[in-house]
Amino acid sequence: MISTEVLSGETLPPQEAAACGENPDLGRNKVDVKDLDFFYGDFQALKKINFSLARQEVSALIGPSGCGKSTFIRILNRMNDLIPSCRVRGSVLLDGEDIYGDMDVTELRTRVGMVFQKPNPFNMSIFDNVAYGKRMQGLRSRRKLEELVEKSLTRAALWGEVKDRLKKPALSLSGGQQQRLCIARSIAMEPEIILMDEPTSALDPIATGKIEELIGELKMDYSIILVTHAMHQAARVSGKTAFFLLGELIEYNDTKTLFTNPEDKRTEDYISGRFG
Amino acid sequence: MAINRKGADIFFKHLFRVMSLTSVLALASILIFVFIQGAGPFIFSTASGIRIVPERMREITVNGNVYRNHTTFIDIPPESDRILVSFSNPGISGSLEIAVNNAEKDPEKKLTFSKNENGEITYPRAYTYTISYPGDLPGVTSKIHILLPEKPGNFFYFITGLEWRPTYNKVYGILPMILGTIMVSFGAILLGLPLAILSGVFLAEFIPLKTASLIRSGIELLAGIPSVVYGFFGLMVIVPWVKNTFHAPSGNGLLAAAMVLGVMILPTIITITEASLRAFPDSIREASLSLGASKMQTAWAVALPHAKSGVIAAVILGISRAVGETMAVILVAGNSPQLIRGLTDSIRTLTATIALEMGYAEGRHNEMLFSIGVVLFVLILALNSLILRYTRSDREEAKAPLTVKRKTEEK
Repeated sequence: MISTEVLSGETLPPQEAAACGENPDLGRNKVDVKDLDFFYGDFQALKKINFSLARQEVSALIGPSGCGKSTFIRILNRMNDLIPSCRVRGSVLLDGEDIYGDMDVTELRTRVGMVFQKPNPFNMSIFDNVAYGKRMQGLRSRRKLEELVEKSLTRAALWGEVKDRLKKPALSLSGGQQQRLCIARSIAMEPEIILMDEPTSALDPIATGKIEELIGELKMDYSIILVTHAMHQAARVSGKTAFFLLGELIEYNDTKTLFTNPEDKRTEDYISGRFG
Repeated sequence: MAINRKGADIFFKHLFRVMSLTSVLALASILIFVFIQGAGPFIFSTASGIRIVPERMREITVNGNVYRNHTTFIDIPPESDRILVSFSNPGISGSLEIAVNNAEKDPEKKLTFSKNENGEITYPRAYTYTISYPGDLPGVTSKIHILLPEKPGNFFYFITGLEWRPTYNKVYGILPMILGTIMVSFGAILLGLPLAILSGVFLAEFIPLKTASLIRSGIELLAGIPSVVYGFFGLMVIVPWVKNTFHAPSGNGLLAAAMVLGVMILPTIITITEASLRAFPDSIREASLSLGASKMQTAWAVALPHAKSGVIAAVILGISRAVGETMAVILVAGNSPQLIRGLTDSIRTLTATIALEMGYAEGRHNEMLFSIGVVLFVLILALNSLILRYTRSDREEAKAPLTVKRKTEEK
């Protein structure tokens, strides 16, 4: 078993690494996707996707339902491996390393965290939920776990609300709190990238506001890819926005440019509400 | 045709009320009947006084009353201290004069035969005297049975007694059988449960759906095999194996019974475990995987705890089957009502006792077998409610949200 010290060293948040001035990769892209094709059986869900994500950047993916946004981000942590009969062609590089190559899937998933559409906490206590990932990596020290849980919950802006009832079941939290717990759970793994698959679609406007605020804070430390249906959300939180349509990446640009001065006619139609 | 909907609604409402009330009452009365019947031998004596049963007697006179071709009980009033019996059959006649000592407690000394003509007292049991008169033809014997009444049984001894001698000494202690049932079932769960849960996890989590359904249909086939076949298999394969491996005088015993039962409970637990794991939502499985947990860790740490209530239901079914199983156990357990000292010792279960002895039991013995059935019923009820209570308290914890919220609001 790999010791956690080594792992946490490897997964040092980019901000700290940059502060040390030791990271030669700084300036290079965190994620590079080149000519990516993806198939469910015979159906081609993604066509020739080229995409890149810089460090400490929030990218929003927008587009109508079924256009392949979710499929795309699930490629980045290989969640699609679970579906039988799916195929990937092209290359996906994380820090220049091919994630479909020699990389261990479980290691990839600790580096690329994910927050899902519906809050899906485990049926355990709040503490156990946050500590789950590190425990599965073999961290047993009670003290370290407590530190980790406090740090992660604080980062996810949930600590104040739950610090007195860490032993209570996570399912007793409200929907918005559950979603922040899920974010805390992925932060606890000290990932480099956090993938968010419509994290606010099941939440009310107030909870949504809190999550958006949180994303704004998290982008200081992590690269975030956010799938969203709400265009104003993309406009509010993201630095860059990608527009997907029918499995193609139509346009990928600075959010401001994309919303005010789109290059492609189809993007303009979509954001002005002509379809989708 | 227009249907009067309102009328029909009212009709069905009353119909359902009446039916549900009837069924509840029926169930309750059955339960009450069963418990009263089971409690009977501990409350009532077998008869008010001594009873005489003539066998192949054309004409018999008891204390001056003449009975012709009588085949059932002749009751003697309880306070009488002298019984005069005489009979005359073609070829043989005889007479008996019996003094009854009503104050005597020991059944062996209660009767004194002051006059016994031609008769031969055979089968002197504690509570039964049989006087035989050999007739003309060999094998055709006239008999007089004298049955002493048995006092109400001691329920405490029934539960805690170590001796089961229902025919001769009328001693009814079923503790060895209760312990036997518990040990056999516990052994079966111990051997079968880990295997079954692992198989269930394997089927649900690690192999493709098509292969899994193929294997599952095979396992379901196992559930349909008659238990006597399992018993026969145990007798032919497991019993010799136990005998050779442990150098026991006989392989029939606790270990063989637990192994056979362990195999028999597999199909139930495997299928239910697999089904409840399949009901485990993919979204939570994905959450675990996305945190870098392996498939195995996901199955153990998240999926199995989530499916816990299903697994516990499966365990309850398995225990019920193990406790209630009769035929397979009779074949391999050895059936000695004793406290065991080793794993290979012969053991007897409650169900085996009922099945083995119902054929020849009479009188008090018969009633005691019924009481054993009631004890079995209570035992299964107790085991199941124990497990259910454990799961329910667990489930209530998960349902806590409302109370938790209310508390925080009060603050």
